[in-house]
Amino acid sequence: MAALIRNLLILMILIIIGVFAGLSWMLENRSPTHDYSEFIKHVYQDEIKLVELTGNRAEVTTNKGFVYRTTVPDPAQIATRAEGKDMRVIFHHDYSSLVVQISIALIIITLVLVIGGTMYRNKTRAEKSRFASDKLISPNSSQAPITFADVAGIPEAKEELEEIVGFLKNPKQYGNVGAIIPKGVLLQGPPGTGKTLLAKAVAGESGVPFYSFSGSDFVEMFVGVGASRVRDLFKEAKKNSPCIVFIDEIDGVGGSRTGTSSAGGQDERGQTLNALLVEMDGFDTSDTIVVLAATNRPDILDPALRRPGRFDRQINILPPDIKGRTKILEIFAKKVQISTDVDLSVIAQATPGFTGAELANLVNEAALLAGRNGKLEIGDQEFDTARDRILMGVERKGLVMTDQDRTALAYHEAGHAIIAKKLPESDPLHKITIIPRGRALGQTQQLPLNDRHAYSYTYLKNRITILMGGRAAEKIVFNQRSTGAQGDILQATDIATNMICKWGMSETLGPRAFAMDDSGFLGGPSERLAVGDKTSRQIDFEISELLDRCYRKQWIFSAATSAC
Amino acid sequence: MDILSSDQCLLKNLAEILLQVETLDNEEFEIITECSIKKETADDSVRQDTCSTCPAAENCAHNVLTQS
Repeated sequence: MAALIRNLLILMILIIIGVFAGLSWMLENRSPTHDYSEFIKHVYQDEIKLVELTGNRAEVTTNKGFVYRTTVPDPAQIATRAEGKDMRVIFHHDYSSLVVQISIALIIITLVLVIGGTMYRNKTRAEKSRFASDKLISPNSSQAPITFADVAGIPEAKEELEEIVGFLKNPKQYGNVGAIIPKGVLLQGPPGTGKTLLAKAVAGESGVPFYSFSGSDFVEMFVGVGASRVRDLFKEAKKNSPCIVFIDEIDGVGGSRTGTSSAGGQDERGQTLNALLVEMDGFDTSDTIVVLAATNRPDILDPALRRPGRFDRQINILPPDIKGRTKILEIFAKKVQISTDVDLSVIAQATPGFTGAELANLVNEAALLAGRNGKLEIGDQEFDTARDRILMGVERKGLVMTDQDRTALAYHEAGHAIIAKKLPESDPLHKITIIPRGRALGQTQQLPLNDRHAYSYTYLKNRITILMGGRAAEKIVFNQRSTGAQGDILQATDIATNMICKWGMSETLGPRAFAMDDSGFLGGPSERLAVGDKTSRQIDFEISELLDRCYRKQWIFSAATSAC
Repeated sequence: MDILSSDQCLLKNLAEILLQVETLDNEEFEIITECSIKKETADDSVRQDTCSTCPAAENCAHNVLTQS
């Protein structure tokens, strides 16, 4: 509104200037112009009846009634020349220069106002963007708000957050019984599990302002900027209370200060974290601000951030189970055309471990495939191909393999499949293929009937044996070893190492951990704990022994098929 | 009896069919398994011999391809 008034004012000034200039021009040009020498000639010939002088401009009327204008160098001389002649000379005040001066002054004032106004506006905008208030997302914005109906597969997390929504909607209900709402809720889980979506759903359901930031938004090159942003953010949040402040990837700013990089909190990150800790302590529960944060590295967060009073509630958001995957697929299925023959529960069964983001990608890939093939609906075939594409990579149609390599590959995959079929407690076979995809030349896929949350010793040992089946088949048929088993051996070694070092499955070493994970939900490599030389040698021996037993001694090349 | 050595006929059949069709699902795998086992149990001595005496892989492949 203010901008409209300002623009109208500028327009009016410009119009006035234009009118003045126009009138002045019209006055100047209403009669023809003659030069001074012609005027003098007319004076000497007594042909002038009237001369009206305005400054050094003269409007001359001849005896015949003809009117013209001229410029005179010295107006006083005209009066002298008129003496003794029948010529009237009238002097007028010269207002034209005043009009010009006023016009110039108005133009200058207008320019100063416009330039000054623009600079002020830019400065204000810059100050506002200093704490990124342009990221304020209002649930009343043009975008349709996300609600809990858009979130599936994480019922426990939804239940926990519904309480927060209830408080934001009706704080008195909780206040009457003396309940204090958690100041902060930390959503922790692997990437793609829907942490950000859930936070947006809380905002959408509660209908309060939603400030969304990333941890990296607070970290700048200059020390103190991040801390200032945190203070500005909470100042703004308090003004707009009740509201939700969401900090995605909080590990970017909330990392532990005990590391060497933080140097006791003296660097930018440390100061920003300190500001965050202070602000979260600073706002009262009556401020009705709920801080939501998401991370997939909860293990590196500063302990002070996780203590009660700051992030009181910590919610694990894990990949959905088969029911959750079915519900997630149902949500995505509404957005695309899916054939009525497609059973989403079967697709959910075939996608163990898939997160919500991966399922979204699966549906989109299937839709793209259907579109590419000119189909109007997505069928089972598209879902199957899309799944293979996501799990194994794009089909390498251009790869040329010799007949010898293809034959070895076929026996390799057949070896996996037969072992998988023969061993008890193994997952059912789903597909055997020798079509190269991604980095794999072929693949034998097994799919569990249900999601597995715990693995028995027998299952793991069988898994290693199945992985060794490809190498064993090559050895039996061709009596040689190839590099095709590289991935299998790596995976088998990883399982055997975990069995001995993390899951305490060694009879000799007993239930003791020799390694630990320190990568949160990102699934990085394990770190071996410090042990003596003798124990270290024993661990290596146990791992090799387990792999060897599964490959050679008892399972594939010996008569005994009982447990090792 | 070791697992793969005892199923060399199945191994051979499966590999040869894989070379033809490139991809097999579980149902097709079961057909090949049954086909190979029937022959083995019909003549026990075959199991001790080389796979040249196994049922023709083409037949199994035909069954698989017909089924699919």
